[in-house]
Amino acid sequence: MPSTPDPFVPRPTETSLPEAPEPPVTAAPGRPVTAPPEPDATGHALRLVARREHELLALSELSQELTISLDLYGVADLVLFNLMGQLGTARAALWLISEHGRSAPVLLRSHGMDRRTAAALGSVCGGWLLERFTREPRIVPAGEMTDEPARAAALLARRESIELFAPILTRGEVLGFLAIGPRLGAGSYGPVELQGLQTSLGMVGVALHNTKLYNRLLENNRQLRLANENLMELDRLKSEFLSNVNHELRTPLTVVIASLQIVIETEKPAPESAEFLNAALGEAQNLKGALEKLLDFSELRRNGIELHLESADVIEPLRRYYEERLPGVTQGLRELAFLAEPDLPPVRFDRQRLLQIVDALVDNAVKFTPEGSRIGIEVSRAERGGRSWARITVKDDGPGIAPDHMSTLFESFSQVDGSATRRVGGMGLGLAMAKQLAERMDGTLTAASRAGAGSAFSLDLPLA
Amino acid sequence: MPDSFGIQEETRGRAVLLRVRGRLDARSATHLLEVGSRVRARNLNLVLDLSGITFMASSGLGSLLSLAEEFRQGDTRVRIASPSAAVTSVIHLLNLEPFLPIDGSEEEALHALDS
Repeated sequence: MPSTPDPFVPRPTETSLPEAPEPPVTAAPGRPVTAPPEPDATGHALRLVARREHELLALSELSQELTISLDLYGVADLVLFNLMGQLGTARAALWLISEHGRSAPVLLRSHGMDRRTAAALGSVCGGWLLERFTREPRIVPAGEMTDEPARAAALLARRESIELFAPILTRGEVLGFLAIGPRLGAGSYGPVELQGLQTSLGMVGVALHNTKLYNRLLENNRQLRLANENLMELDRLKSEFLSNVNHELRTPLTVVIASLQIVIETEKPAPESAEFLNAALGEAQNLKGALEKLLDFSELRRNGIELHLESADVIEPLRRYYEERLPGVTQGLRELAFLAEPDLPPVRFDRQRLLQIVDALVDNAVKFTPEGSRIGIEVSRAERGGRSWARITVKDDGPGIAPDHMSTLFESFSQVDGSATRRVGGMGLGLAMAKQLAERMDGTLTAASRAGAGSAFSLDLPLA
Repeated sequence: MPDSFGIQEETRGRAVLLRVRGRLDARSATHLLEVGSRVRARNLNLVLDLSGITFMASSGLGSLLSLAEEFRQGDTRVRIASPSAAVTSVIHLLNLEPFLPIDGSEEEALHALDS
């Protein structure tokens, strides 16, 4: 490390702006900054004005930027970058409170701070801060955290060069909070900067609240669509059931009709008896006709899983799936990312079945990872067995799968529900069905995991 | 489109040179950070040629500060080469030159990293 003072190590609190000589300030296209290069008192005053102008512009930019993303993690990025530029700090992080009653807040994003360190900071400081913000919703300088329960939090905050903790509120309810590092070159946090920060946080609170509501709406719509698809699937199963019953009924009915015909034609029954027997025969034949119509109808719908294979771009449907799935996953405070290798050749696949498999894998990742986890959908090209494949991987950084469960991973669900049909809930496809579908498309589905290091499920589909 | 954002990448010894052009705002800040983070993962220094930046929002400055801090923590460094007025005005205004060191050209920045 250089022997000169490290510019990123926070300096003692400054009470005034740096003195002259000041570097020249030049107006930038589209974002005017008006301070002229005057080293005297007038120049100092103009410089102050320019800084206020910078803060106001940053506020104005934030109000526009908050409309860019409808993803909680995207909003967190926008907020942190804006505030870091507005205040001139290199460290900031944002946490949200879980809706599921967890006590520890969930770290969404940290910039200029190692993610693990930031998560630890949230765990240590979160409880105290939330209690404090609920009681007194205002920005807390880390230096004020002197009472006993907050001392450990204050020590960690100081070690991580955090100067402020700021609540994110909407309608008086604490949604989360921010940690903000020291200002690097523009003095300490004065009343004007804190006022600007407070104003920003008001907008951020409304934006995060609206984003959560919007995401919940989108996720509810998705759930409704899935429920509708499940109903259609139930309808298909009903047809299967009817078909089976139909077979069971038609066989004895054929015997009944044949017997009646023999009796009528060979035994020459008395006219009264013949009338009853002919009526019975007519009704039996009507019943057989009705059964056959029903059988035809059932068989049409009983063909099992019919594949509609096509050779097409696999990224576009996956990207659309990602966009549809994003609100619900982030609403549950898990990050969902999508990464696709460019120029992937066409793939041979059934669009609907592919999305069912990926949905099953994402469902699985959501189910078995805690809040704050990262889930990724990655599309890449892979070479295996002398062939080229499109590899679609759904990975997470959750607790992973115990080794003794790995060998039965793809069989366990079929044992649970006693068939290779659908799982209850969600899209309803278990891992066993996902694997079967992959193989029907001439692909493979494999899993890799290490306890404590997350899991990765890879679907390989043949390139066309 | 002179304002469209773009990054051109070139590896120069132990450093990566990123020529960034267009608007460095909230939309492009995340992109710049992603590219920069990949450089950091390779444990290389970073030179940002910002001569082509036509506009820098607060978010853009935030992403530069975040990059510089993350490189510093990894014992690597970031230098800015020949920034446009849109960049220098804000850096000067907030006295950020010690944290975002500026050089007159790409070669000067690369030389400063070597020294």
